This record gives sequence, structure tokens and C-alpha cells, in this order.
Amino acid sequence: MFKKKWQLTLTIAFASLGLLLSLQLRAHKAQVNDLNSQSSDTLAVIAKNLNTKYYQLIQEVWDLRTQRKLLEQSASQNKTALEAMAMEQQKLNIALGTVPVEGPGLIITVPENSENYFGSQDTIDIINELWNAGAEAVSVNGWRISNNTFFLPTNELSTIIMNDHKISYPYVIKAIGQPVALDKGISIPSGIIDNLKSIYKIPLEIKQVDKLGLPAISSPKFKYAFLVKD
Amino acid sequence: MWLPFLALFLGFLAGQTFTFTLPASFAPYLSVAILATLDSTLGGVKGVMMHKYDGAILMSGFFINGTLAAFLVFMGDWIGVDLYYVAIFVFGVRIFQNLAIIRREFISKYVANHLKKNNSSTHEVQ
Repeated sequence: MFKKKWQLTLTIAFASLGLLLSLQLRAHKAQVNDLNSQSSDTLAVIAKNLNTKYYQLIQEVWDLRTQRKLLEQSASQNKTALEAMAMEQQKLNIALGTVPVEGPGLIITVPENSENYFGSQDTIDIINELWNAGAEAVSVNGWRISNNTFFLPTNELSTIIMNDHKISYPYVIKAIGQPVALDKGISIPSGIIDNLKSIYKIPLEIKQVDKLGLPAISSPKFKYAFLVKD
Repeated sequence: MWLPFLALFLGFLAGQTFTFTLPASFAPYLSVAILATLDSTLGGVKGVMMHKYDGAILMSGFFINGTLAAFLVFMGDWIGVDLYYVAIFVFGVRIFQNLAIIRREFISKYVANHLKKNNSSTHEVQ
């Protein structure tokens, strides 16, 4: 490779020179960009620009702070609205019967009796009376009363049709509400319970309980009824 | 013959691929060191041309001159004497002298021989 004796050392010298040149190129670039090597005019311009930038940034910080405050406010408002909506939905679900509920209330039991007739109209009357007395949720034989519950009489004396189900004795009507108020509300003299007991001799049992649970019905489906758009 | 120039190029590339950069305050010393080493290298080329080449002189001149030049300028800054311009002047002059000698040698060796072949009446250029 090194045919002549001068080639090796000269090559080393040239390589080192190249390396040094390259390093110097970089150091020089760094020096040109260095603030120490700038003229005072340039430095003044730089300082002025930085000052302007500084005030711009302060302004920006204030703007962003204001923006953040506004966003936080609207976020908390949204949160409140969302909570209110969730509570409203819960209430509507309870009213509609799509969620199971529990609470204090009243249990009215109509036991089996062969002598006296207890029909669908009596059930409806009791339920109406319960609603009137302030019941918040009602079920009959474990079926929750919802917006489209119906009761129909049958040919047999011992059965009632409730929402396509045939129910029979013993009829158990559960209502959630203030137990004493419910009891008093349905037990008024010459009210439905009084009439059933005294005139028709039906052995009703009324029990106030501290806690009873009512099941849910499946969510209603609407095919034809739609919300009126503004 | 082209090996030294290839080496120059490779050395430059190596310096560019390094990630580290010397501090900006080193630039004046490095520039003086480069002038000194350039002078030594051209001296080496001159030696080759004049058949008086000595590898030891080149290597010692290259490294010792470079280091000492940078160091002297540094010392000058230290004691308040601006040796930077002195070094630039001295090495600048030497570089141009070396270049002049190399040019003359090159012409007398290659160009003159070439011309002689074509025209025997041409005199050697000094």
C-alpha cells in the first residue's frame, strides 16, 4: 500500500489536517452563533426581540388562563347538567318501572276463599287507591305495574288476566310508599278496603313493612309513538 | 500519489461524523493550530517534490508545531499579548512560501519535461 516511504507519514499528516479542519469548521460555526461574538447592535436587536417576545408570552399566558377559567366553568356547568339529567332519568325509570326498586311500604294479601268473588275490578280499585294514597311503585303477584299494565276478568272466578299472564289466589299487592300513610289512605271508612271487608267479606290482610323490593319490567318499545320535533 | 488527498477527505468526514463539538472559545486556538499543521503538511509535500523528504521531521513538525502554536496563542491571551495575529502572519507567510516552492518544483518537474518532449528548444522555467 505504501510503496514509497513518504506516503505513510504524509497520509497521517493529511488525515489529521482534515480532521482538524472539520473540527474547526464546527467550532467556527458555534462561535458565529455564540452571543459573545455578536456586535452590540445585533445584541441590542436580539434583546429587543426577546423583550417583545416576553411580553407577548405573558399576554398569551393571561389569555390562556382566562380561557381555562371559562372552560372550567362550562365543564362544571356541564357536570351539573349531566348529574341533573342522570337523576331525572333515574326518576323516570322508577316511574316507568324499568328498574327494580326497594323501600318501605305495604303488603295487601288476598287469600284463597271460595265463597266470595274477588275480581279484576277490585284489584284495579285497590291499586288506584294506593296511587291516591301516595304509593310510588306497585306490583301485583310479583308483576310490576307499569304504564301499559291492564287487568281483565276471566270466565273463571278465581283468576285475573294481568298483562297476558293469568294470576290467581293468593293475590299479593305490594306498594312502596310511606307505610302509615298508605295504610290510612286505603283504609278510610267506606273506601275500597272497608267495602271489601265489611260488605263482601273478603279476608284481606294488610301489613306494613320496613323494606320490600319490587322487580323491574323490561323497557317499553315504541314503534309508532315518536317525540314531537320542534 | 492520491492517497494523502483521500486521507484528507476521510479525516474531514470523520470530523463531521463525530457528534461532539468543541466549545466556541476554542476556535481561535484551533485555527492557529490548523495554520501550523497546514504549514507542516505543505512542507512535507515540498520535501517530496524536492526529494528531501523526512517522515520524522514532518510528524514532529505537524504535531509539535500545531500544539505549540495553539498553546502560545493561549499563553498570549493569558498574559495579554495578542499572539494570535503574530501566529497568523508567520504561518501565513510560510504557507505561501511553501506553496510557491511547490509550484516551481511542479512546473520544473512535470510541465517542463512535458514541454521538452514536444519542443526541445524550450528552456526550463525557474
